[in-house]
Amino acid sequence: MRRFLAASVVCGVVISGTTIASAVVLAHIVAGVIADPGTRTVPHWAGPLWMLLALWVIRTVAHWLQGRLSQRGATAVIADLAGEVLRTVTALPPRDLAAHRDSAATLITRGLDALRPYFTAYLPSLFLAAILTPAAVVVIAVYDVSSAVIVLIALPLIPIFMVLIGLLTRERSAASLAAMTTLQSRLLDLVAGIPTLRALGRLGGSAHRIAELGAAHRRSAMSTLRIAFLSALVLELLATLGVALVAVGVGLRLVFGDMTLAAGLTALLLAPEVFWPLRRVGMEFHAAQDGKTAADKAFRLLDTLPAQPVGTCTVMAAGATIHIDALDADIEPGVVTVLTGPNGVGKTTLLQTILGLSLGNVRVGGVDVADLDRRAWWGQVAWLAQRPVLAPGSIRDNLELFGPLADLDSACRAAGFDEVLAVLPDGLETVIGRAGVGLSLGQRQRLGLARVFGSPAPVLLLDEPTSHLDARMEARVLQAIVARARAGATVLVVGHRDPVLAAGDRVLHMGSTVNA
Amino acid sequence: MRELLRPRLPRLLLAVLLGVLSLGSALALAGISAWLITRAWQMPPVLDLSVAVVAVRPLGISRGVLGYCQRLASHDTALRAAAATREALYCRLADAPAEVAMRLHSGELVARIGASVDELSDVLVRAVLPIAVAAVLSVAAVAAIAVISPASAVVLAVCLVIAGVAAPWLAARAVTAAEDVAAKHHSGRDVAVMLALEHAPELRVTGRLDAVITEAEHRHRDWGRATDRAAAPAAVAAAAPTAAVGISVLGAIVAAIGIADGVAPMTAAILMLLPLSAFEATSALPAAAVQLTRSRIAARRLRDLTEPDGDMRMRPRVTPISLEPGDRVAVTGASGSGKTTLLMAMAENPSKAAFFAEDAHLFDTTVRDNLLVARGDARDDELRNALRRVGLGDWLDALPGGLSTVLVGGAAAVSAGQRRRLLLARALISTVPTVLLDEPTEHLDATDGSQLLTELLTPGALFPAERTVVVATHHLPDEVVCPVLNLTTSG
Repeated sequence: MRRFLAASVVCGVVISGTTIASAVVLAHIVAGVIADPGTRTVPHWAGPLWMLLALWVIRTVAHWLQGRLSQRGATAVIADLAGEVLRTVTALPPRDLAAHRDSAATLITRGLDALRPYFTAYLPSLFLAAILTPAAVVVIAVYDVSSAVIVLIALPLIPIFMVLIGLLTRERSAASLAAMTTLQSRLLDLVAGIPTLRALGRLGGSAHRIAELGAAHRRSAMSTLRIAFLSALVLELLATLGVALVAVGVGLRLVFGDMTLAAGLTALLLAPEVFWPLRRVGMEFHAAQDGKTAADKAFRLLDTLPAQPVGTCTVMAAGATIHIDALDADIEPGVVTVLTGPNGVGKTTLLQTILGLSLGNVRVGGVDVADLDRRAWWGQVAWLAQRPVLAPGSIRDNLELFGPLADLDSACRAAGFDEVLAVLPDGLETVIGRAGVGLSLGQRQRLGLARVFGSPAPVLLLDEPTSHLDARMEARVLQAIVARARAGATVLVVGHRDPVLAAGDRVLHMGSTVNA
Repeated sequence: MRELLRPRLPRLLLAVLLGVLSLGSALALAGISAWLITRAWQMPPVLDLSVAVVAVRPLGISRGVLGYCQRLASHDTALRAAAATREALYCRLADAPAEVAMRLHSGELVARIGASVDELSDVLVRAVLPIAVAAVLSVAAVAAIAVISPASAVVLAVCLVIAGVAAPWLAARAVTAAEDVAAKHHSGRDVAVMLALEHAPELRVTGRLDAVITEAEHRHRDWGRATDRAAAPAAVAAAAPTAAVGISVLGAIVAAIGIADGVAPMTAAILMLLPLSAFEATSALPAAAVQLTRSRIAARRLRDLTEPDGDMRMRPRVTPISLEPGDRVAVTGASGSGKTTLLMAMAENPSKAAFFAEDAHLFDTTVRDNLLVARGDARDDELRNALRRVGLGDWLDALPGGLSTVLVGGAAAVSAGQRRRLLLARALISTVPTVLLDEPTEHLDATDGSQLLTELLTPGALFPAERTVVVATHHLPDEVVCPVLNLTTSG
């Protein structure tokens, strides 16, 4: 990032230097050709002409280099920022992650791409305005102080007028912008409603309504634009008038012999160079706004997120009892504990608390989960999430996504996934997510279960393990769960269907008053 | 692109005229300035300069003012064209096969339509206008120089072609290449990102998160590298105009040295200095070419959207079940077994049967208007009654404006359960003899869902006994007694 900015500034300096130098050389040549008939041969001017050519070549190369560098810089910055957002957001507790997921997804997959014009167009023009504009004023002053004074008077008027216009029209433009946004969303709302209106046979009047909304949108957009374009008007007016006044001033001084033709031409050629970088900044400003907004959002997201506490204790989970303060209950090894309660009471959150993903008071073998070294703890837990993760790839890749299974065949049998494998075109090597091959919800559930059953972890946390399964399959899965418990595992099952409750040696009820 | 936009030619021509006059003022200003300074150097009586001195100021003002008028005129034209496009698009979507309209349920798709229309209409302001203005002014500049020195005019013309045709072509090529790269790399990158975002806790616990994120970053960098390669012509396009100005100035100087003995000093000065200002109009053209490409892509996207594409899965033709007035039928089966297809097939005649989709749209308007969609002449008390019967009585009483309360953001203003009930209220208000309800209890909790299903399928409970009600559901409670059509999955 810093290297890219430095290189971009260097390019800005080179472009400014060659621009000013070529203006001076050109003025010198033009003045010479006009003023001195004896010099009107190409060989006489060969030196300056070669110099002019060299300057222009360097200027062209610097422009190209700046373009190339800014493209690379943009790519690097976007990739870094996207990676950072992804790392930060995925490290959040599940609840916070859910709250930020959509905005993070939009930022990473689309929003941050808008930073490209910011780096490739806006920043270079900003650097040029910061370097070329003052440098050109200084050089004009060296050749002709009065022209420099004219330019210096016009120059500050530009920001002053811009700010004044901005202040005077802020309320109006905010109001019409809001109106415009509302109209736009109404229009889209009507489009989104087409299937519904069609099904009800009421499409007739809405095309007319679209036309009305479109006309209203245009009127409010135009009232916004009438204001927005004022700043461009002021910018152009001052820039052109500034150059025109320099020309008139130089002309009047030349008439009375107060200055040389070369000095006058230099001032005339440099005057536009003072203003055009500013105009380019004005032009690129709006295109850069989307990217700037996205970057601001990303930084805000990175700033506001809390740091995760890190524990250092380790515990032998095999045979350990898990104590849950909120329920004042122990989850013991060797038995199946079922956690039940109405939707939204926090059963899933409780599982996440046990894992140390969410805050809460849970102790494993007497140690608070918050103090546990998470990696060591997670290595001893097999967790079936509500929607088990499925990565693009083969079925085998997915079964072994979290590590090789102890006994793949028996794990698949226990989960009832063997029946799924039997109907898949290429069995274990079937690639999912391609050419229409997918798994139904029930099949996904069984894949997730096979992963859990194949894991040697001594603690099993199962979130609704039998959802999307029919009664026969449910019985088979519950049987496997009970078998794992009998073999000594600590098993906690979240569920509310009767067969699940019946399979539990102990049933914990979470009421709406309990906060885990 | 033309047929969708239908721009109004007179307005567009007015905008072009204003643009030509505005940039023409700048060009004239440059020429007069060169003349003024050279003439002044000859120290004539001041009076000789007065015309030029006076002309300079109005030209300086007209540059800005006419530019302002041109911007307003062109944006007005573009907004009109955008409105016409939306209307045309709406009519097309309305007439398109049901499968095409069904795709609109995705909010993102609808937002993309909005963006595509804007992108399409931008072609007028950002491409057509600058191209027309640059063409006129380039011809004018070349003609002016040709009067002084035909050789120099040829150099200028060649350079204008470099800056105004070659550079824009390169810029457009870069955009097309970048779009191809995005199409190729984005989906891979997005899949990895979404995998990490949607399953972060599980991946973290199992130690896979780092690998997934690294994969996402890896793909992101691949995309970045490919984008950089694709953008290479854009950097050349950015530098080409500078080279073009340089060449034309050098050419003009050499030409001026050759003819300076035979012409007035003012003429030589104009010959040498005018090329510097002749490129202002063409400097907008690389951006114009980029816009032209983008608008073409947008037009294609809109066309694809309104026309059923070949490989889109058309719903198979199914034979509707025959019904007697007053029938209550439940259609059950696993997801994908064709329940929705069957219901939609039965809704072919909107005056006899109406299909109430599971994901029907709630409009960003009042509760009243959202219900009147089903039957325009329903009275307020009928609406209130319907809401009470679907269990939204308390909700209605709690609304600040009653039926006139605006559901801001449509479905976003209500919970999933309330949305279901509102959609059900629409079905109650409609007077179509046959009501086809797709998954009316999805997102309701088990008890509420069962109760509602029972009421729906019991003649006279929610719907009058003489109306026909078909309900597609994947979960039929045991206590409901009615004919059940069970669709089994065939694949």
